[in-house]
Amino acid sequence: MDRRQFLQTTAAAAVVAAGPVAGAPLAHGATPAVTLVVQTDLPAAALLARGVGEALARAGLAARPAGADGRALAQVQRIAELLDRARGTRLVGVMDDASAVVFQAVAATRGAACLAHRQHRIAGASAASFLIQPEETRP
Amino acid sequence: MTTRRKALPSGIAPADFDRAVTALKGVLGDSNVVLDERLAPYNKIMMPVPDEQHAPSAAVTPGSVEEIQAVLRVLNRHRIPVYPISTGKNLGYGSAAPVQRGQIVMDLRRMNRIIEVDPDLCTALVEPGVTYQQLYDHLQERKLPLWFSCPAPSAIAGPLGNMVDRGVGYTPYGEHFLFSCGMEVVLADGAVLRTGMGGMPNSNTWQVFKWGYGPTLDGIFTQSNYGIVTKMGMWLMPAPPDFRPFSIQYPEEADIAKIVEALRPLRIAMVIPNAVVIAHTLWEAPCTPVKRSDYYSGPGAIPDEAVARIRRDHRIGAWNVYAALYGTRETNDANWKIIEAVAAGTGGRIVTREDSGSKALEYRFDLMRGKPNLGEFGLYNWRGGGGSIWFAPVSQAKGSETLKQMKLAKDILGKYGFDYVGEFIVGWRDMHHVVDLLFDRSDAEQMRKAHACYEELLQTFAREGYGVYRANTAFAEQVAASYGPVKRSVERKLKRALDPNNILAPGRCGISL
Repeated sequence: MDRRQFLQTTAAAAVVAAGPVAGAPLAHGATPAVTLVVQTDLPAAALLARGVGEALARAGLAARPAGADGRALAQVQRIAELLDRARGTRLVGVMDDASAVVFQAVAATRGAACLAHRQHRIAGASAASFLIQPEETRP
Repeated sequence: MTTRRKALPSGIAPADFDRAVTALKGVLGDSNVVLDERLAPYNKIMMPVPDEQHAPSAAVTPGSVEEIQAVLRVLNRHRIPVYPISTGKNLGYGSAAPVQRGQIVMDLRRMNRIIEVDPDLCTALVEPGVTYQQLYDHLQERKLPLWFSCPAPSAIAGPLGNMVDRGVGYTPYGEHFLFSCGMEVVLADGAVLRTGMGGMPNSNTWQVFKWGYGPTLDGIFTQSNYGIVTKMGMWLMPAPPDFRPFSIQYPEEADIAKIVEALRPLRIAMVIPNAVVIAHTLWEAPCTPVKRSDYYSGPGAIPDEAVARIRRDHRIGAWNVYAALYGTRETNDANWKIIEAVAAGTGGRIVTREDSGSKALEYRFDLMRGKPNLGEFGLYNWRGGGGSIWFAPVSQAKGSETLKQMKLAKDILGKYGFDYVGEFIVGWRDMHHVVDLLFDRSDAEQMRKAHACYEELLQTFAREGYGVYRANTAFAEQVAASYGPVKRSVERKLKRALDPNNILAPGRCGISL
């Protein structure tokens, strides 16, 4: 990774990790764990996710990684499984634009709210990050 | 004390709105009235306008016709408009966001029963929240040899909403409204209308005979706001003994005219019984997938030279025809000879599943047998930033229309720096020219350009006599205006008669009092 790419990734990761993830405790006061869903076959997403994980760790939040490739992220059943695994946590997704749209659409169908969505350009590639509050943890 | 809300219906005071919300909670329970930050799933996604313009004030999730009636009583009393959605996944045409700021979204996803599937008559009766994936799983689990037609984003969308929006699909039953049969509609005053044979007590013909007696009313509940459709009958297709999908690739953009001339007779005569899709290189490329940045990263639209390199490198045609034969082995063998002769005579190269590892071909072939998938979402990765609006003018299915329309669209898109990503679909005697205007929705300047570009597309094509068959919610008013004043006047008279308080989605498809 060159210096420009490193700085881009670090800055983007810090923005994602400093969003509502860290600052929003659950209704009963517990600090949420975070499930970090990463598109494994998109290098920009992997880079960004690594930075997000490190930034979350610095904020004292444990990030539980969950990887899936682009083909899996185009399947409703696979996304539903990832959402099931994220129960009781906040979910940060880092993936390509198409997968992000589908993922958020499936989550919305289950009543989960997307609290934040950001676009990133890392080393010329486009990636999206978003934060979902699973339905079980709504205030 | 009133609660401060981000968006309110036009002309409604905060205290009145709060009273209505309290009444709605009384009808549906707290958990089925959605407010504030929980409204995020109902925000606009793809429209190239500020979020605030289509922000809902609340959402309600009724679970039955009776609950819808109770909600309408409250909203009539308070004169608050409601925007019904079924699954709300019509992303390129507007998603779940209301047509006007402050409308309450009525999300019907809890009404998701497949009420009946008749395997002998090949019919189904479904509620608004049923998704294509759900219906597919239902048929598979019961081992019923029945197919349906679905649109490209089918796995998350639903048949009722798609039919009500007059959407289309890729099997021989692809004109979805044509293959619907019988609706149940809750009117603004709470009355429940069943169309066709559905009004007759003890009739068992609701899902088999469309017309009933007297005027046929079903059409006025599509692309409109005259009622809330709560049930829909649909015809299913018996799985054919032999299904033979194919693609034909053509090397030159100018080939499009002869392709349409060669295929139209086969389509009208139903040798090819499904809609023929003719996809441009740049529709195929993102779904193959090909990365745009590997070929061009400069400003503006991708140059023709780069598009030609994509064709060569990935063995994609300038145009890529998709169609299928449905029948017995014997009839398909006979018709296959016709397809081979047409391809040879027009300079096309036939591609079957065995010849190609392309994901684009795979998802197209699945759609032609009604298997839901999300393959076409690959388009959102093309430009980066995930913005998309469909522009879909209709023309006669004649070759002479194609190059003219393509040049019009490509010139306007290029002026704003966007790529021509288009396909022609020979429906039957008509042809849809579907253009996906792809932009970066995180970039304010691209949003502004996308809006201006879409407006110019609409105006220019309308001047040439080309109307669009559907439109993104943000442009409903302009599209409705392009169809002339008399039609709009009749639509308003119907609205006044059926919804005098103007509470059902005012502005949808340009209809309001």
